[in-house]
Amino acid sequence: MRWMARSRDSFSVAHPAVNFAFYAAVLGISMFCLHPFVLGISLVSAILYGAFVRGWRHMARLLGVFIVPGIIVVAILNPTFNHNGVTLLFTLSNGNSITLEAIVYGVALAITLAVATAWFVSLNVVLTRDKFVYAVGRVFPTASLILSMSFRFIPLFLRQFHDTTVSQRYLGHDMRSARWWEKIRIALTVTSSLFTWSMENAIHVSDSMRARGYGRRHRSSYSPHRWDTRNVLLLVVIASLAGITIVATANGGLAAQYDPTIVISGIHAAPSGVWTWLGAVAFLLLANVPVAVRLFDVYLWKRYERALRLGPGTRRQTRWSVVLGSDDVSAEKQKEKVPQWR
Amino acid sequence: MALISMRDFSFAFPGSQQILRNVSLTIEEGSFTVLLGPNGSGKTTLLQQLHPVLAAHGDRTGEILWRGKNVSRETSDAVASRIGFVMQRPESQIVTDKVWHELAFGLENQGLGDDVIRRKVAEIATYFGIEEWFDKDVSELSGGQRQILNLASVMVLNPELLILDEPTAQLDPISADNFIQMLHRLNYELGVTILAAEHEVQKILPFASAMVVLTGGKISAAGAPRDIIPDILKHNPSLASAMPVAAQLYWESHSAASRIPLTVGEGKRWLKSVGGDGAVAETAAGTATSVTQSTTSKGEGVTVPETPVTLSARDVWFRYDKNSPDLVKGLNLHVHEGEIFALVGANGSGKSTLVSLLSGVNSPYRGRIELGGTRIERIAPRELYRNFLGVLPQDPQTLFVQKTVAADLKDVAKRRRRKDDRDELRLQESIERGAEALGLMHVLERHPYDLSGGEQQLAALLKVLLLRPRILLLDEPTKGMDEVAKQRVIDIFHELQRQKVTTVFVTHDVEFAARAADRAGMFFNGDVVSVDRVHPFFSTNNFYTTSASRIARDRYPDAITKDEVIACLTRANS
Repeated sequence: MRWMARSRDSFSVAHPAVNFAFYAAVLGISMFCLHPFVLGISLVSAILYGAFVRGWRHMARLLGVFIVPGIIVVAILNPTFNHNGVTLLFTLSNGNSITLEAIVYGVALAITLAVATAWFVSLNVVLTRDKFVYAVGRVFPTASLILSMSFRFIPLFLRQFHDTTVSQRYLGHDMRSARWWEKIRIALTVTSSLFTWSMENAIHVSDSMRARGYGRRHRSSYSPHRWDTRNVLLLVVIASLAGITIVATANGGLAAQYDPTIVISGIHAAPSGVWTWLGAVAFLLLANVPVAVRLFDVYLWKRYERALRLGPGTRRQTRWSVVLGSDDVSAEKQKEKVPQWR
Repeated sequence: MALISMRDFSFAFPGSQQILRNVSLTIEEGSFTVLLGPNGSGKTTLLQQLHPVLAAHGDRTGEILWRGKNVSRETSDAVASRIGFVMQRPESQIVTDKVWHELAFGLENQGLGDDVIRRKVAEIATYFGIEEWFDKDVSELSGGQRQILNLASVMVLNPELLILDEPTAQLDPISADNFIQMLHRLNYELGVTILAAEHEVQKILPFASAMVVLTGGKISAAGAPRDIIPDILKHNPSLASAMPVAAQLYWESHSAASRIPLTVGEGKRWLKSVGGDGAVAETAAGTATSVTQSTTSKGEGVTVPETPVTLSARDVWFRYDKNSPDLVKGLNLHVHEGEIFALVGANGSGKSTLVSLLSGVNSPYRGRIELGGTRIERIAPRELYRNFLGVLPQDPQTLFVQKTVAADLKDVAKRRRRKDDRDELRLQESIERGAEALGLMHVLERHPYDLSGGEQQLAALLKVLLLRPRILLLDEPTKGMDEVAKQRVIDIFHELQRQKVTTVFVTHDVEFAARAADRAGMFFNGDVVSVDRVHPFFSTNNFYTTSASRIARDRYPDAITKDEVIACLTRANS
């Protein structure tokens, strides 16, 4: 399984708009549609992609330490507060009733939280700071400059804070060994020094900005990201799959009601229709777009390597089996000649 | 044709005395002009006044002309967009968090579209060799890379005139060389007009086509370097020691050669041309030995002072994280009481790590560091930094906490000892004596941040000295200092030596190390290698040595400072 974590993540190098569209669609649908199909697909896909990006160990630890205990806690807690529902299981000594509906709803709620947690694992890696700045910039150009300047200033400030503290130590003002009233005085000294430094730094930065023409004309907001065919294609795929899922939900194909009675299309008290299966399949595909993109690139690279190995004119003969590594023709050759991509 | 010129220009900040006095200056198109002047001579003010946007408000008389036309309110924006400005501190002029964004910043201000910006940024990144760190955060860059980034993000706007205010003062020598080479390329390949203030002219002067000397707000000399350097050497002793060593040697030996040498290579050729006869060389070498009072000669082994060891590091290993590489590897260092010890060669993280270990901020994971025979971890912080170990950190600004230099000095002097120094008068007296010795009297009432880089170093040094340390540890003490200030520091070192104070300093300034230190060691790859007395140290080094030694080593192998070489030359002449 190690090759999974080692292969390159093609989805995170896609255009930020594609990344944002994907997470908005997947998280939005998972939050608003509490159908078991959607939640199950979402959780499994999130864990799968998380494992690709951060490795199985990380995901296993997250599952064991946070997600599974979290599900159990919420599933137990919900019925003790929530007493709605028609199927009475038993009555507690204080007169509160525990209902089946409340328990099931608790589980669904817990899984929703788990889904969000699991998706955020990959989101943290994929949506880097500069993509965030970019996204803000498309909407509010000035805000994005302020964000970018803040991200510049924070490490600088922290370093200055460290240096000033150390310098004060050199002058005999040591926080660690000082008495409490001295500690307050040292802290005040450091704070006032940092304040002066920040003002000074701000003057230099504003000089540097004005000297480079800031404020003289209307500003544009440059983005180093480019739209290419692949990004457009990805966006179209994400949009249409999300569209199908939403339409399916709207038409009751993925309807889920937990209170006062449980009505879940395709599972309980409601028949499954075309919309149910269409919606579920669309969402399954949607949630696995990043993994698919990644695997597709693995395949492309394998094919490329094979073509190099066999010489020109042989690219077409590549089979899908290559992806899985069970290349019957030249498994031996491959080991000798070509450094494996992993 | 004159690109920009000042005519009879004077400037004063509101309510204070004139900083620039009747300055007339012409910068020719395509020239490379070096502006030279001691600390506090008004260099920064002059450069800022040339840039319409950065010019400080105050009382201005006289005029500034751009291509022969007066810079008025209407034309100032247009002129500003033709001038690029690079300041001294690499950190504080970076605006954004990403390298690519910093390069694009000025272009965004012009309201250009993505495609144009992409093209220009790509071009400039390639020209300046930024590709490898193009996607990085600016906080990950080294000081040298940051300054190159500043230069590139100004050059992307395609200015005709590039003004730089001591751009290499905060850089290590290799980054400084790179930076100056880059300036030379801009001037030579692209014809960009360059005006750079520097006080370390050794490296930049060979590329300069013109030189302007500013003293006390007045222009005291201007012209081609070779024409005016003899004048400076003759009439301006305070600036003479800032001139290239080759030129000083040439001047002091009253050489008859017609062309004044500026670089080491020229100096070497000149020295060969003036009587290379063997007998002279031999006696001169003998004289050199007596002049330098070198206690060792080849094969005799290293002599060490007889006083006890007061700072020692034994087999010290250090790294920041479990998984990060070792930055200090089995370091051994023994410094004796009353010794002046120079550590050269360390750069980047190695240097700051070394200082943090020797000053007790970080602890080694293996090995021990002892001060005065006690392990540094065992000394209570209260004891360690009061009247025992004085440390001058890399950034002197972090030491200042008060509104004026005087208040800052008083603040520290108050808290050194309880009884005998309490008395206000004695305190004031010791501050004034120190300020006098370091030439800081005129800045005592100023805000510490308003001082020039060199003056800040001096004030910070004085602050540390007022704690009366027995061991002094200095990180790059001469950064941004002019020659006069350096000489003052050397005098202080010797004064301290008489009081048996031990001084250890880390520096890139080999000329200073050769003049100031008794012994020197080279920090390389996490260890101090080749510890020796300074004379054998620098005279056996082939690459990492002083300019004087590079020029004169064939004839006077033991002379390492220019004064020693001059002494040898005069003896040989007489």
